[in-house]
Amino acid sequence: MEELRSPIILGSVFVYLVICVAVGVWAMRRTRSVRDFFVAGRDLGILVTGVAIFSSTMSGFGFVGGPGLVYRLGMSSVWIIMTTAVSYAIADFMVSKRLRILAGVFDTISLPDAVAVRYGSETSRFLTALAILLGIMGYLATQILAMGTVLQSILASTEVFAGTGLITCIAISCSVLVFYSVTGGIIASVYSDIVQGVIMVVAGVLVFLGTLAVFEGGPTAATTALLRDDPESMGPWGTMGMIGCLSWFFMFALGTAGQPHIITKAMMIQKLRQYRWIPLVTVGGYTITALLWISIGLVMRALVVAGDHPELASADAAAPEFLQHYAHPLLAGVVFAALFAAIMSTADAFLNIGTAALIHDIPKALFGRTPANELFWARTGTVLLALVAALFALYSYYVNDRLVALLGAFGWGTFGAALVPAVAIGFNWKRATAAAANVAIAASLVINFAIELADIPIPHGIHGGTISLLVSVLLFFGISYASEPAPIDPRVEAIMDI
Amino acid sequence: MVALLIFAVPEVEGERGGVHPEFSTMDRGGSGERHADLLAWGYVLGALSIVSFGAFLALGASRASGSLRGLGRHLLWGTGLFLAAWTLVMLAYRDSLADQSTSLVLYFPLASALMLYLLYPVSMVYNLFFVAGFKRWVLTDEDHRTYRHLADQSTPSEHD
Repeated sequence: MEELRSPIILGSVFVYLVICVAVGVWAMRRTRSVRDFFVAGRDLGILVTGVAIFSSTMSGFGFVGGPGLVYRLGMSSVWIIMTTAVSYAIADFMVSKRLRILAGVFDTISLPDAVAVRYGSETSRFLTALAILLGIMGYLATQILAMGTVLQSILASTEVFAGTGLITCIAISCSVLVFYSVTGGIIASVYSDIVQGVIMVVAGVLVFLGTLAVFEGGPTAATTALLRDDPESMGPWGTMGMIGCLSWFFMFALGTAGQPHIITKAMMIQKLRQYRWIPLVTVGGYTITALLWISIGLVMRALVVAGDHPELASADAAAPEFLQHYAHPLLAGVVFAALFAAIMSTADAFLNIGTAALIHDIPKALFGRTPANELFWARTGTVLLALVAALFALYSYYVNDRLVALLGAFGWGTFGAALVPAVAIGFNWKRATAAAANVAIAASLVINFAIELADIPIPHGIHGGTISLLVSVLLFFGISYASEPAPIDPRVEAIMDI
Repeated sequence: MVALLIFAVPEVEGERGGVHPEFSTMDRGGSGERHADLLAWGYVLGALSIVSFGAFLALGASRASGSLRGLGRHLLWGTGLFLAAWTLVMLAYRDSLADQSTSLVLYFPLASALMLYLLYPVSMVYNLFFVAGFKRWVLTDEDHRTYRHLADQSTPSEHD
């Protein structure tokens, strides 16, 4: 079986990519309008919506970066996972219901659409769309680069395709991503999320069980080896320290309510009452897939400190090294497919919301209308956005990695800081004003850029995103109280009373 | 609180760990002493975060009159439970600084075991409120009628 490892892994990834293409072809027939393209015609069931939410949350970061963080920092990054339940609860109570009701009443098809309706402000729409566009570019480039790199490493282990270059690998994986995202829009995205989510859950369980047997003496011996090397690495704060971990805890718990690729899924569920069951799918799914994150990271760290495995070339190599050396070839095949699934499920969601910002919201904010034949332009915009992100990824790989790092910082923290006040608080608090929302969004963008550009060190390891979230929330409350209460559309007011 | 931490509390050497002396691709936490002066700060910071989560949930669940229709009481005990679990994690960690024993609970030192097996499950109490109390606290029959009325006025094609 061992000699078949490479063909099995390559075959698994190939089958997965073929399924994605098939979903794209199937979804194309169901995508007849821009409403279908961006919000799946608001026709999704409980399972599809729930799986789409958790698989979009668990990106390539969770499957590659997560084990890498545990390998490097011990238990520190587990605090990100610790927020899963409470963060989904905050998003569900504060945002999901109102977004779905707004979509039903005002036919909103994007988050900036909903923000514009709430505040009656095109400036708010524009700033929300701008924050989304800036935020997704770094994320998308990183995901595209990750797809290319993973495919290249898989091909490198075969005899026939060993010399395949990164550009070719990016072109192949991006073509599949763009194909199903263009043909089927968000319908293809969410139904491929079902495939992706199932693969991720299976991989999470199998890898967790697999890691139990890797270290001689079992998990207890592995933990003992880690404690002997560095007791703090296995303590609740890992190596990073208490305050840094707590800043993650705060930012990730509240920040989910401002992640556009997650919360916009609430607009797609068919019946409002179905939303009741979504937390069972999202919290359950994410918790199971996170098993992979923790178990691979700890086992690889234990193997290295015990001298049973050579030191890794980089922390991010933890998952690939584990699969290469300790996973059964069939399991390695499933997990590599899951890895692609995790990356693609996030990338397609970003492509879709980015296209909505580009084609629907920015023109509406600037010119008061969307382009004629919006569906055609949505498809064209998806291709353009993917192309720009791919070029951006290649530029960062070959010329200057600072640029992607800069926009990469516009990730979770910036979405949280920019959109939690305007969306999560503003949709529940009538005293909130458009001016406050606009200042909070703009300030969070400026603060995050400034912290990253100037490389400002924050004492105690507090995350920059936590600072910008706190500042934007304070600004939002302060400006709202300082300004005259703004009149709200009676229907919006009625929705806020529900 | 965060501003105080940043401007008034000096950072202890090694507080954020450092590169492992043998393996350059991993970090090392060093001694737990790095947290000795920060325990109270950390405890309050974590507790305030948990209280703020409860407050945000209450804001999301509140109605026109500001009423929580009974959910407030549940949010209060849920947050209390979350705080109690948090307190246990911190107490176990504080004790581990004095007692260097390496006894494990389900493969982890006690403080980490409490974090994984108690704090995390307890935080699911809010999801439980959402699922179990959906028709009482999130979307009542009256809410649903209001929604249908608004939707019918705006987009008659909505059938939900």
